[in-house]
Amino acid sequence: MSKRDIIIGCLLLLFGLFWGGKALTYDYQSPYGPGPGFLPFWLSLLLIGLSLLLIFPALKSYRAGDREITHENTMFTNPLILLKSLGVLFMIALFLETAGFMFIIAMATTFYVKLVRPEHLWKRSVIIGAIISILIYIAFKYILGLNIPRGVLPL
Amino acid sequence: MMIFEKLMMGFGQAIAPVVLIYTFVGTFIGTAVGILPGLGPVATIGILLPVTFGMDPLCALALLCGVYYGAQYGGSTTSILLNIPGESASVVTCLDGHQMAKQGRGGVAIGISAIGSFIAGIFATAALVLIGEPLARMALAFGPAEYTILMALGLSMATSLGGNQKRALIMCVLGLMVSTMGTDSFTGVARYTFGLTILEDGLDLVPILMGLFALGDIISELEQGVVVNPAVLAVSTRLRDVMPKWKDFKESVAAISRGSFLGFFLGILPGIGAATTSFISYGLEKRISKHPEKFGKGIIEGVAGPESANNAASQGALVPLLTLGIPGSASAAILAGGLMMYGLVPGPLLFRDNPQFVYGLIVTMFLGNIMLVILNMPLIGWWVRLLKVPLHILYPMVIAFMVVGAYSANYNSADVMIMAVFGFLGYVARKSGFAPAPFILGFFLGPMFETSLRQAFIVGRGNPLIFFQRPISLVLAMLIVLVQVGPTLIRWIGKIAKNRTC
Repeated sequence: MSKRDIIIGCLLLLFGLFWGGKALTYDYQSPYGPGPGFLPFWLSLLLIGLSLLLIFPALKSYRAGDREITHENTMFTNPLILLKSLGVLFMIALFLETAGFMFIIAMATTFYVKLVRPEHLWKRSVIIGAIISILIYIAFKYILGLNIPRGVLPL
Repeated sequence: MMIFEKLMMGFGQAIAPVVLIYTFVGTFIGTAVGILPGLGPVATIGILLPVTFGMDPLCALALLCGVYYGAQYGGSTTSILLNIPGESASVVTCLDGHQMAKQGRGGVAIGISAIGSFIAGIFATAALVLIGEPLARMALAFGPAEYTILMALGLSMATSLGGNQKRALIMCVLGLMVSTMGTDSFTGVARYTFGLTILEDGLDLVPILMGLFALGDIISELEQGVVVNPAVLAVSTRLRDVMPKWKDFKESVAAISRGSFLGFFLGILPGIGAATTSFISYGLEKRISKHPEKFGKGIIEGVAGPESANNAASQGALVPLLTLGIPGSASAAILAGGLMMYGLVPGPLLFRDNPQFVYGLIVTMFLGNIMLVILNMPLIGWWVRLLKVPLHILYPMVIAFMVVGAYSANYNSADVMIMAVFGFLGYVARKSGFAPAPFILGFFLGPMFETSLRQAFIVGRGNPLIFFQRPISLVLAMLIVLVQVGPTLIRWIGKIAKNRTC
């Protein structure tokens, strides 16, 4: 895990520096006491310190030869699945209000069915996706009364 | 009003048919999510939270609490039958529970775990009744300095027990940092909004926790591929086989009592959580047993103790939430969010201003525990069948639920995007050994912590000694030092002692 700890530690260090730098643009002190920049500043200092505590021991063990990552922690073994799963969620966010819940969720669930079971035929995946979407829409819109966007469908 | 009268008042609220229905639905969903690996109570409560908008507060909280403690019951089933823990608190149940299943005593293990969980649940709820109000009354004397230190104690315990302390602390600090986004409540200054209006109110808890917990898990499992265990088909689900015999009761009654007591009192301490408690209980049972060599080979005490402990701990974690307003776990943090959604501020004033609600909720827990025994024993066959639901149907459904949950938090599709971002972060965190729970605790406690901290500084005219001048805050501050330094100190002393022996 040492190599990954070094990378994660560096990213956290950069994040801490960015957050702390931004905190300095807010007032540290206000007429009533600590200002809006007070807590973010100290938290970023804490994060910088912790990230250094993560980086240095990891560097030491990396130099000592610990470069192994256990199988269950292997990251991005299938980056395409990760990209597809998150990409579909971004598409849902972009088109949820214009296309409507039922339509966009039917598309998304069809896609996820196909992602989990690639051997399924598209026709079967579409049917499963449509059923899930309709059931959830009815449950939330008509039974629980949530204001879900209906979009292009006149329902 | 005496406690008994208040309980009767709560009973009157809790036996309303609609409340009973929601309690049942909550325990039912809780058992299901406990059984299904990959979907934990935290994510489920998060998904259900927006669904409860517009409900009566007692119905909503009865539902959410039912999911919370129901998951502890359900989690043991997959541990025993399949050696797959439904959630983290049931990991230790695999050790002896699955061995019992292999010996053909899986039904007895499930039965004793349900009975142990029931006794522990009833004990923990009764203890909550007894110590809840006195503790809340004491907390009324707390000022901003005490609250700041108390929250710092909760956060430090959450980061120092179970798992890697440094990583947990990092997650907690990140949660606190993200919680500072949005308009500053003291000065009205917009912080870290980057000119985006959607960030002016800060980030919402629901999309974050659904992303970090459920989505992170699902992506992780999708990446690894799906495994279906055929052992589930070979389990006897007849009531006769599930009911423990008198001999089993006799062997496990002491373990259940110890587990209930230990679980409740450890559960009260913020951050310990049901998983750690179950491990401590298992260790205790093994240490005091006349047959420690039988542990890990299918001994009934190895199931009864930890299962009672994790259920008692999950209800014990509600004590600091309801009395002090400080959640002890990620699930309790979401329940706190649920209370606030209904204008009920968790903390000492809740007992004073809303006794009907508090005691109503406590009585629903009594009733919920009874429902759970009924759900978990005769219906065991039904639950085992649930494990056969194909994941290509389950996962898309869960994702669709999450989209509804994230969207309906603010009726804004940007929250779905935020959920996706945190889903990615949850995946990375999990793969890098960073547990997401301290992040959620930090994020939830962040605004309260900042408000108390700044108020304390105002009261103390900028003097940081205010945190050490009052006796309660001084004791709490000393506890923080003990919690942070204690484990390292013990390890250090142990090392020295070992070196000397060598």
